[in-house]
Amino acid sequence: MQYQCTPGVVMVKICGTRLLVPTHEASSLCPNVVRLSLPAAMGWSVLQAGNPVSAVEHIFSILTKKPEDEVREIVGKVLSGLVEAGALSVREDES
Amino acid sequence: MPMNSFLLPRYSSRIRLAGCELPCRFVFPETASFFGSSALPSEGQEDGISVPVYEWEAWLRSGGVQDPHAEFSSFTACSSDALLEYDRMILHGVSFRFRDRAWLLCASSGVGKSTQVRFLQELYPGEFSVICGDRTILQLTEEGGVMAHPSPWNGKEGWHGAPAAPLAGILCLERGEETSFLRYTPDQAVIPVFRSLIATFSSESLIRRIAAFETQLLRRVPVWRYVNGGVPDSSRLLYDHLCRQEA
Repeated sequence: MQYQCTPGVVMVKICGTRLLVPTHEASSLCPNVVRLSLPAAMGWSVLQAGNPVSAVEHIFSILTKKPEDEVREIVGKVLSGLVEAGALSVREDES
Repeated sequence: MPMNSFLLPRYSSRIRLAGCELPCRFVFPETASFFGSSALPSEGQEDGISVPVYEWEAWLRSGGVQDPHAEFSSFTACSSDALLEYDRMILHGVSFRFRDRAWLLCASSGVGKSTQVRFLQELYPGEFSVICGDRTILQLTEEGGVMAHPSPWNGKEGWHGAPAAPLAGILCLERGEETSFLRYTPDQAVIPVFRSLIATFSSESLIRRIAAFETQLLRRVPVWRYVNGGVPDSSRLLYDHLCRQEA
């Protein structure tokens, strides 16, 4: 499973709060401003840079020092929130 | 009417908002008249801000008619975009003067902004005057403060008349069981204030500039969550709250 950031959704920081804000064009897919937790902001940034979800899992693994399957679950939960908000979409791996 | 049969802007004009002169292009020559004293003679310029096509499309889809008043109302967002160049932005909120300072009351339509202001004026005659009844222009000043300016968009009541004043604070109004005031931290104020910002959100760079504006705004003025438990008591408590801030 791979994730794709919705084009036209921008991460900004206002007084320490990170938000995902859609442009007008992106608002049909991501209708609302999304407040990001630090893990979600990290995950978003990594994916936005074009990295696969495994890169997000790798970073979370280093930071949390938790086993692989737990990390995968944490990352899955964090990213599914962004999918629900329309800021990310999911595509199945071609392999 | 087919979606692409709307009229395009071809009448050049200029408007003055919060001390800034903005070149505009209107679909209708009559639109300028809604701006009142904010409208300036045209210089015949070719370019200028105009209502985006997608806004007209959405308006027509919702059953609206493309007419001068619709154009005037829809001009807020593109005006706010243009004002960002000058450290100004338009917010959805009623601004009023109290003891030579401005207060901005923000909330979604129908929550009771106008009712609050009406009761303040009735309970304390002569102490309150309205700067702008619907869409206030805020300016980040070079001195590190914020000024609240009138605009031509004054809402159903058409309240306006008071001159610009330094902004003392922002009140984010909600309805609730019991009246209360809670000072927001800047972090807590981000979303309520963001919801009041008016812009087209047409590009990523614009969004970044909006974020920079709000960051400065929240560093400069305090923001409160104001829960309205019911007028007129909430208006009296609001008056007490404002007096405490002025002390």
